[in-house]
Amino acid sequence: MVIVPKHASQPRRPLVEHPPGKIAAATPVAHARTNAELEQLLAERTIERDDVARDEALAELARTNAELEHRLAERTIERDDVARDEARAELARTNAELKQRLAERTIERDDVARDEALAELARTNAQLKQRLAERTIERDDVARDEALAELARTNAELKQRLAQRTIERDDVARDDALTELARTNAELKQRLAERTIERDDVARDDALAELARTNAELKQRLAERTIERDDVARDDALTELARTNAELKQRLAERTIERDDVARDDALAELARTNAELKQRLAERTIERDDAARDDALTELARTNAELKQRLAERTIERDDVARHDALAELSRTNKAEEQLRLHAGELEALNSELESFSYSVSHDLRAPVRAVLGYTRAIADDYGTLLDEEGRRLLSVVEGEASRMGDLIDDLLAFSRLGRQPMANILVNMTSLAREVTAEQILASEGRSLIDIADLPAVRGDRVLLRQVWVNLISNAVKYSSKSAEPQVHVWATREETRTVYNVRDNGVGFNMAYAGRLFGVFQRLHRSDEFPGTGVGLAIVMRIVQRHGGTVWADARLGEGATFSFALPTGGEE
Amino acid sequence: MTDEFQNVDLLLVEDNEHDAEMTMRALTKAHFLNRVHWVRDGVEALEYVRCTGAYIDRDPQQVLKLMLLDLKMPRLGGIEVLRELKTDPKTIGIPIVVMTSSNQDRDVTESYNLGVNGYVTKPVQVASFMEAVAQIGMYWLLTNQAPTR
Repeated sequence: MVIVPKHASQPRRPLVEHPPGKIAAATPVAHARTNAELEQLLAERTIERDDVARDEALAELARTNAELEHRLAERTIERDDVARDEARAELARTNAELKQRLAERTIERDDVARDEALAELARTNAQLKQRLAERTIERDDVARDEALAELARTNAELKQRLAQRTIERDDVARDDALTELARTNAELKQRLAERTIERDDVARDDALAELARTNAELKQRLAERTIERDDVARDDALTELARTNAELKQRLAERTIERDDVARDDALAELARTNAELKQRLAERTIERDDAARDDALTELARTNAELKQRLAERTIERDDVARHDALAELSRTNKAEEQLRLHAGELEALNSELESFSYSVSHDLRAPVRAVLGYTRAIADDYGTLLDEEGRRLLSVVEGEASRMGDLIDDLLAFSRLGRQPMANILVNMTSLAREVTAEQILASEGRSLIDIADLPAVRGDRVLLRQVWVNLISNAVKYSSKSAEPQVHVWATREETRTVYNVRDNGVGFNMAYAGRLFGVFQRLHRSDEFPGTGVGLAIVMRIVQRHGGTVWADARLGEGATFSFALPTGGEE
Repeated sequence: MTDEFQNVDLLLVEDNEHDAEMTMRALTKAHFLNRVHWVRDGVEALEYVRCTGAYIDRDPQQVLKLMLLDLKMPRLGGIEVLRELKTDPKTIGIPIVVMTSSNQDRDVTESYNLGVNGYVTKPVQVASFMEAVAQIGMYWLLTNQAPTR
């Protein structure tokens, strides 16, 4: 862009400058004109020229502005501050140039033209500034929105982090708190345990010390009194003292249950000693005393009484602790005794089971050789019986018979031994049907000779298998020992008593002499020879053992030749 | 391979020779003797069943219809034999009847827990003993159907 006046290249003439046409037209007139006219002409032309130059400058300015606006408008998308700065710089430069060019013009212009140019310039600047301001605002808005979005995102993240850390921190804090709590509890428990032990002693010592100190104070105060007291006051004091003592004694007497004798005796002795001293001091005083001194003494006495009462109350509490401690010690001693009993019981049980296991294994190991003796005797009789004469066969049969009896003894002993080990059932047993069931078998065995009568029998709680064995042994005994009677009879009945039921089996058999009744229930004990009545002598021992395991008793009543009655009693309860 | 045990379907496991003799005497009377083989402890019993040791040449196809098993024996007792055979799929099917002097509940319970097929206490009396053995032979060798493999 070059802004140059159109006529700048024309040769300059002295004083005046004019287009050739005008000069040519004026030439004929110039001779007739004056200098004033020329000057006016020049002034007019200067004005005209100035107008042209001004118009040109303004046009140039407008064009430049348009270009600048256009450039600014084109940069809508990616404008940064640099662009704006450049635009500003360009504007400034352009303005500077324009100003310079305008200033360079040597021809004077009128004020109007200049003012207009300046106004135009100012307006253009204002517009540019406004546009710049508007764009700045837009850009600021975008930036603000982005900043706000960023801020929101950052806030969200921070909140989440805070939430996580709060949870973690709470867990840690809780764990710490629990650990602290557990430790504190453990410490407190230990301290309590330690202090419980020491407290009783310390409290008692403190109470005694306090008591002693109070007494000492009282004595000192009494001693310090220099004022005389009258006899009335002394009598009153003594009366009061006696009354207080009586009260204290009564209170002490009332607490006879929870106090140890030593504590009471100590308190009484202390009290008695204090009283004795007080009395002596009072008695010693021969001088008169004023009422105030008596009041003081009474007040002091009342205070002392109150203190003593409180101490007694406190000591009662302490004594309770002592009593509890004693009770615990007693309990511990009892427990110890029980423990010892249990130990003994355990030893006995172990011994018992050892004995049983011994008798079992003896019985068990005895069976094999007996079985062999029996087996081989039978083999000889079977295979070589014909080679023996009658005496030989008789001898062999004796061997077989005795070995057989030994086998029975061993089997019975085994059965007896098993009784102690067998676990016992505890069910409601119908004794009537049980006795009838056994009786049916026995009638078969006795070939129907015996008359057996079974009454209704109360049920009982116990082990059916074991109780059945009792009935088998008692009824079979009754059948056996009455088998030689003309009309064998067996009667079974029961009687209810307060806490037990007695079951009885009576026969009309051979009976026995009651002098030997004590041996009846021993193992292998018999009152008859086995050639009279076969048997091993274990049956009644088994009966007794079973009845005893049920918590009952068994006994017999008989007379020789007049039959026998065997009875057993079982405890009642829980049958319904 | 030998056919020595071709007819054997009853294995008597018994350490007491007198008891064994009485048992076989009873089986003889019941006409089962040629079907019995007698071994004297648990080790021999397992060797017989598994065709090992002295019985390496026995035909494994020949299966037992019954094993009569004593409990108290040297080397390997009856309970251990039961445990071995009744936990082995190849021998679990062999019928085993314990015949012993013991009538201890513990032995009875343990034997049944291990899967024994019968439990008999040896009677002391000869007649009872003979009858018991004969009954066992009759039932397991004639009446009962044993697995064939």
